Amino acid sequence: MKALILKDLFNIKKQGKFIFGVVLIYGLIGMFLDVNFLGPFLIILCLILPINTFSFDKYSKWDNYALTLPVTRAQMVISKYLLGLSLAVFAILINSLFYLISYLIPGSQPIQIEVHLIFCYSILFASLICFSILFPFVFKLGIEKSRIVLFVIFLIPSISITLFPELFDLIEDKFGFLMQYSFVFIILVSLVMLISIFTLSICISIGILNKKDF
Amino acid sequence: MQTNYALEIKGLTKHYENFHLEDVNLTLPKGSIVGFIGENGAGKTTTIKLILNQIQKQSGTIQVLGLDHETNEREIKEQLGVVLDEGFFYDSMNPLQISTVMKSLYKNWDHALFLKYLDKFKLPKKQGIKEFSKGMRMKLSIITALSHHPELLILDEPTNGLDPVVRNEILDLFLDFIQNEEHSILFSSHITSDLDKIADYICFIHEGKIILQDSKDSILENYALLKCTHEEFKNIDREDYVSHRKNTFGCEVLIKDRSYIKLKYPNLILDSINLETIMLFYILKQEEVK
Repeated sequence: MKALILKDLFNIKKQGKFIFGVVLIYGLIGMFLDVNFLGPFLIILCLILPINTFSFDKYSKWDNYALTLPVTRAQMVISKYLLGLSLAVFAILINSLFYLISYLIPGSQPIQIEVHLIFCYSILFASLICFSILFPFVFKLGIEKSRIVLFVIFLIPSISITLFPELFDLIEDKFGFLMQYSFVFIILVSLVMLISIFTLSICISIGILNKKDF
Repeated sequence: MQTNYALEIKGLTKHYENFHLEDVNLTLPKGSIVGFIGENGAGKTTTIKLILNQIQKQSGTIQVLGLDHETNEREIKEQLGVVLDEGFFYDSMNPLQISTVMKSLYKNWDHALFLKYLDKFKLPKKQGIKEFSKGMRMKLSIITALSHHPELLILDEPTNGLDPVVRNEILDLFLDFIQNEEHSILFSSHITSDLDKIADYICFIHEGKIILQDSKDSILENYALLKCTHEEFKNIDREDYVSHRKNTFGCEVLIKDRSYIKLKYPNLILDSINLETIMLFYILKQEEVK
């Protein structure tokens, strides 16, 4: 498992300088304008990097080779999810680092630890939910066709909200009752949901890969 | 389980819409090299994929190093070195990174041996694979397969597209490997000249069926190419030859019992034969049957 993640990290490292540069620019802009530009960018980055590893796997026919090594199909699946999870955690750390640095700039807003933690959790939640939806498709259909699914994941919410702004009111109406609960409670419930969806997605992906012919 | 075979396949079948692997039986005695030959699309890679559990078989059994290939998959793959025609690490990775990954994968990964091989074949340690020539890539792929001290090597077209110098270097490496009596190689190729040099046994597959399996020496000793005129060919009994090829000057006939034919047809010329010609005539025979 460690070897599989390592192999992907070596590949991501190759794009390291570029990623570092972009993160730095977004982070600095956010710091000086006092707006978190970095967070949304990190969510997208967390999503793109593991997906890119699938493309490289396909290009080098890695899966064929991996199955000649002492690696199970389940490990191949889990390693991708763990890579996604690790990148999400790394994104949170980077985001927190910039947040803390921005606090040191004279005249900046006082640190709001609760807001920041919620934001970090949002990064984790959004990334892992996207992986959980997308990865089974990637294992089933391959990376090329799954890009359409990725497109849909982003497109449906964006179009829905743009075309039907009243959806906001509907969501508020349907889920407004949650406001009576504490944030901690809501986060705990969503965390249980997240873990369940993530685990279910892993199981589905393992099932798909176990039946797949290479 | 103690066994004399590094690989034992019985009654293996796999059906695709346009291709069927039918009742494949293949044995690879320990300490030997089996040349698995056949034209492109004959079923060599499908058989290898089945051995490696990359595709699911319909029926049959596969024992690798005395163990079932499905229930003992991980254990087997620890002892297996595989070189594929297609499929390896990312182009952006360099040999040292590959060694780091492999060290986390194999219990017996020998980094020192890997470095020794890199030096021996003059492969740069920190250069990305994308800058390697085809020959260098193949060498890297082979030394990667050898550096965890495997007992069995499975090679799918390892010399395909390589120049004669590199091919010879690679064949020498396989001959070194086979010096240990516990080591064995399944060498799949359509370049039969390589197998003429190093194989102990030959297994010939055509359209998903094994049509010839014997020791290479026995094949080259018993098979021969009979050359005769069209008139002389008419006097040869059908059961005495495998297949024949006519040309303007006469006939070439593949026979499989040299001493018997020599006695029965003392006036006809018998030439020595290589694996490639045998393969071609067997394919002709299959076409005749159709």
